[in-house]
Amino acid sequence: MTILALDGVHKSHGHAAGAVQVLRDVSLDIRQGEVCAIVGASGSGKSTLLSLMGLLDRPDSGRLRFEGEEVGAASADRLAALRNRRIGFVFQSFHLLPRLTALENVALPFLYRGVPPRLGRDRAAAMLERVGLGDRLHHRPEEMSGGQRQRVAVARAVVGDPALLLADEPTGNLDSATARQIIDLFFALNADLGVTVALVTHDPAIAARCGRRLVMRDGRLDGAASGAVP
Amino acid sequence: MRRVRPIDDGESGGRRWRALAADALRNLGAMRQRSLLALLGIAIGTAAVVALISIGENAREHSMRQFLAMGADILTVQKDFSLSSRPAALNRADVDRLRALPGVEKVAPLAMLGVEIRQGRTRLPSAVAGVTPEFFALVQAKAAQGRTLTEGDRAATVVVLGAGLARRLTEDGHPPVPGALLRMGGYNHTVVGVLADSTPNPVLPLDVDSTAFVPLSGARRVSANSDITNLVVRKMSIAADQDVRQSMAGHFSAGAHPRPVMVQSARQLIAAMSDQARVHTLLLAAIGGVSLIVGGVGVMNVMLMGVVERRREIGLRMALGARPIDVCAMFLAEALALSLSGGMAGALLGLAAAAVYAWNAGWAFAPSVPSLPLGLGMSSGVGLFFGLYPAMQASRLEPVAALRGE
Repeated sequence: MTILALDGVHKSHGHAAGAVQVLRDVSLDIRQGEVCAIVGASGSGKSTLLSLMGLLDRPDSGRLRFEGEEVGAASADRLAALRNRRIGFVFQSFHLLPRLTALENVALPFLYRGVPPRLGRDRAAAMLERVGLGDRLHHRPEEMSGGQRQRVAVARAVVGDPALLLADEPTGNLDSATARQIIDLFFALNADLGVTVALVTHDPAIAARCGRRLVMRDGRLDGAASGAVP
Repeated sequence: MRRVRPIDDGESGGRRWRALAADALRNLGAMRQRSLLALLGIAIGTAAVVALISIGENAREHSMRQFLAMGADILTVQKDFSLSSRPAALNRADVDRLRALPGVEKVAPLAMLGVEIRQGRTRLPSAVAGVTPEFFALVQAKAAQGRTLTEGDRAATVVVLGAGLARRLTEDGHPPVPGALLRMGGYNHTVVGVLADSTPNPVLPLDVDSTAFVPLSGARRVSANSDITNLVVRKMSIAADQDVRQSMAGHFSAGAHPRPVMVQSARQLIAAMSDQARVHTLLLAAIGGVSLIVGGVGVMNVMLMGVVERRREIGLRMALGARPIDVCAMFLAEALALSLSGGMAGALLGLAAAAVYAWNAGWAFAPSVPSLPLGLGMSSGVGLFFGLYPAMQASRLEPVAALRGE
């Protein structure tokens, strides 16, 4: 089953004369349960593609469907609701709120769902346990290592039981041993929870572990790899 | 095919708002110092509003209290001094004629004199009033020692002292008591009574507390010019103020020789004074409002800087599912929390300032009831107003741009 479908998507940054074409005629399907790597040189449009897939941005033209729903022109509130419930994000620089504890950071998505705070915290605690940080619930980000912080971020991304987990260079700020643990965590979550994973990476070793690789070149999806299904 | 999956927003709204409010308070705590400064601005503004309104109200109550002692049914007739070349304007016959008017209960003639009172070595220039016995009943002045004047005093050289005047005539630590002798206008007068303390009533031409009262018929001994200068009238409380005023004025303007007089009533004065007090209160509140607005600008400054500094946080929250209105509500809640806590601190501060002011002015302090909700309402209104623009700015950010910190 297809979770996300892009069909002839164009996207440019900037306005009018200074506009730069970042994505040109990109079409792809992300199928449920797969782990997919998006690779390519810097500036090839990987991150822009990931923002579109995460409904953080809208295509200039072309169709974008999420779980069958046309979302290219959906309202900001609808997109926010979908991001809240169906999509999880992991960023290269973690993006944890420094004044909140690990537990509060992970429970943050529930704030926008109206889930009772106690229930949200219980589920956040369970998820931190699951990523191996059961003893760090009340630590703030500054008291944790990079790997631990990224695990908190992963816990936050999947705590709301999303269908799609998106990661933008999740290991870019980590040493290789820690990076491997994080990638292992992605695969484990994929296997346990059935969450579909799409991650942008520079690391060929990580890309090689993924079942599917999308290669971006100059704003286009490289034809040779785009349709590859393992 | 388009499949619309309903998103269950069935959870209670109240819980969601409580969680958002708790979040806002946490965020404010994070920028403690700057929040504190903005809070101070709001607190000072609110304190100004509350203090000024309370002071204005206490001042009005104080001036109203002056009328309560002898009631609001007093009127006075006064010669129009701008035409003083005329012969004696008021006479004993007027007293009887006015007393006969409908609605009039009591009339007392009054001759205001100014002389020097001597008691032993003490010399004190003072107001002396020649009055008839009914004057004391009319203004409800009671004797604290001795008695007031009676019909039998008509020809006697006696004097009744106001409480304040008696204190000022104190010699060797002893204020004059009934039986003491005072010299006025070359005659020794026997003190027969000292009045109880009283509040000055603005409608009377004299301050009962600081006046010496002699029988009207004996006023000539004290001063050469002892004409009746005023008539003091008490109307029946059921009679309409304006009717009594008009019929009294009619008495003087009728006949072949109309006499120019001024008729003034306590109610007229009260109305004028409360008009004035209202203008003052409004003016004071406006001054407080201006300082509150300055405080509001401080809140706006803090919030705008917060929006710039917290772009990544806003982007992250949007990625986690915050709708534009959630982001807007978050900043509004922060602005509201700031201004409300500032407002509460300011309201207490303002009441304390008003109490100190009242104590200093010798007024009875009563906290102004409407000033509290008004002060708090104004401060939160200011917070919401000045918080709205930054909150809208925050909610209009594009998630991608905000996440990159642009």
